[in-house]
Amino acid sequence: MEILSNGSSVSGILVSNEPKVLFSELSEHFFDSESVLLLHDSVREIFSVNDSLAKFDRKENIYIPTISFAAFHPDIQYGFIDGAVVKSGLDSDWNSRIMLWAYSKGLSQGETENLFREDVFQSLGYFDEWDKSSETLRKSFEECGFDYGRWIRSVQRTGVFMYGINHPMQIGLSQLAVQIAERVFPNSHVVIEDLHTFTTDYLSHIVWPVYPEIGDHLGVEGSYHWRVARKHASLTEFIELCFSAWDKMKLRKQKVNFIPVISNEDDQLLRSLAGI
Amino acid sequence: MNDKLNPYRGLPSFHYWRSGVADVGLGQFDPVEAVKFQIGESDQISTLGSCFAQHLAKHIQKSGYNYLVTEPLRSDEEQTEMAKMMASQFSARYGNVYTVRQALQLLDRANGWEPKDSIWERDGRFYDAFRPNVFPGGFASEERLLEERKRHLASVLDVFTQSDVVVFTLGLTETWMSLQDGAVYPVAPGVAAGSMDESQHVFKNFNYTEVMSDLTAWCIRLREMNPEVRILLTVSPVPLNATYEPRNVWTSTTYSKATLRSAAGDVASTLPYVDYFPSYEIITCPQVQGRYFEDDLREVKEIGVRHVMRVFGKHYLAKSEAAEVVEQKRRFSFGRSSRSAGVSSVFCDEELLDQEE
Repeated sequence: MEILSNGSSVSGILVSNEPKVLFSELSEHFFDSESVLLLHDSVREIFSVNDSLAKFDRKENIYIPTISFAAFHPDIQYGFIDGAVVKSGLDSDWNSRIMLWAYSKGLSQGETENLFREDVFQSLGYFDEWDKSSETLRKSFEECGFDYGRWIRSVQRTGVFMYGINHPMQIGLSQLAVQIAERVFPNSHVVIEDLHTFTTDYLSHIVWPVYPEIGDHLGVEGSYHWRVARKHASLTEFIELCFSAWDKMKLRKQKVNFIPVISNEDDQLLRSLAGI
Repeated sequence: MNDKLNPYRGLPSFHYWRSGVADVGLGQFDPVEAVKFQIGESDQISTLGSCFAQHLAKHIQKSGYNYLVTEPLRSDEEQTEMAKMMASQFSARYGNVYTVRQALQLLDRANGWEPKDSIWERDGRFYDAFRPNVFPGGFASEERLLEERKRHLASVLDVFTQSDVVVFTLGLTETWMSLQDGAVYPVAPGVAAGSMDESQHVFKNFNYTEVMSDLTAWCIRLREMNPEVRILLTVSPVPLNATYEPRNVWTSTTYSKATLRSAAGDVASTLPYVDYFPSYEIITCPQVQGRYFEDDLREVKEIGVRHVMRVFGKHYLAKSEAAEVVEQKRRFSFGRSSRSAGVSSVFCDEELLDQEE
């Protein structure tokens, strides 16, 4: 935003999602200010259910949509134990839904690896995610007043544009920034066609692979190669690392809250595909 | 404004660039709106055409459908990988059939026509001028060659008469022709064998009228030989490897592909048993951003072929429940290792022209 602002002052603060703390943070920094507030769209939800915060929901505010797009990585799964995130074998918050399910059912590592195949992905609906992700994100963009069609046309030119379910690559962030700049600085923003080449990529340290079978359906090359910072793993290695990490935390004995939920239907499907 | 005055208003989404192409998600592009026929599990499918036809052949075989091979490798032949490929990726061992005229003459030859300049020599070995790369190293004698050719042409006749569906992939308009009787060759004399003789051979670039006439004749004659046959025409998305026209190879490619595409579409719109399948459009669509081409910007990546075959299967292959089960089992047994297998095992005579650079 600074690059696009043509000299205007742009600053950012990390705010809390706890209403009282959020109230004091916004009061301190922005209340009575003439600044344009750019807020994550989740903040608007907090405003809507807390009367004390309603006054911050100004019409001048610009809400930024959350870029979440699961079509490339439909297997990414979050798990929580008492509110704490379950870490993968590479110490990331992203886990594999199939691996977590297989581990919880006591499947061996070899049996788990065998589940990474086309018919399993198809049964789990992994090939049908594009339209679902697209519609959800379109709605989010439109609710925030942004042009989803323009955004997706520009970002999908590069092929894969997500590192994981909710980590867009630079092209995704920069193209959204352009639309924000056009609203914040309607007559003065700088136009830079290759903006994404001038920004620092803070999200590339964790890369979840587009599984080749999924890549096939999206017309992009895929792999089974995970990366977190300088650590890399193949499918076999990642399963081994994850199972080892989950053994240490005694995951099977814990009550895990899965997001998204692993439905009974998915459980039955996986049981049948795994032959258990 | 009266909407009725605007004939473009209210048409299905595929009519418009934005909804039909630009806004289509990655891998979701499907330019087939209606098909004239479906292919059943018992149908015998044969292929011929340029290198891209081999991709189709491999995938049809993999999908569990009935791929017709009338000239398989015999037990008395050398079982090399190349020989196995030649005997499995072509319905008969004609190799690549690049031009429509070549296909028409193949039909003529199967019915008894004998072109004059048909055997080429190199280093004491003899090569069939119409398939010089099908038997690498050629034959020890003309007699052996003629014996093999006789068997081959009988097999070609079987392909044309036994197929329920023939998939013909049009590849090129440029070729080399014999001045004696107009016979055309898959590769220029002198490239694989023989030698260029300007008094005997001439370069030829077929125009739309010629391709249209040849393709119409080929379809009608094939149907006369095989009254129930259905024909599926496609155009290879693979650009020319070299042009003999005095212009850039890309300009020649666009001429060639436009000519073939137009003729294929026009024949398909005229003859009820002929359909056009847009594999060319799937691979070259701007929506794909060139990602389906290898780094040489010419060869088609396996991922692009799979997109083509996904669309092909969706619209043409009528699958029974039993076939689905077989397919699932096949996928399971092949596992991931099968994904890239055979990517480089497509034989392309045109690549020999690289050696001329």
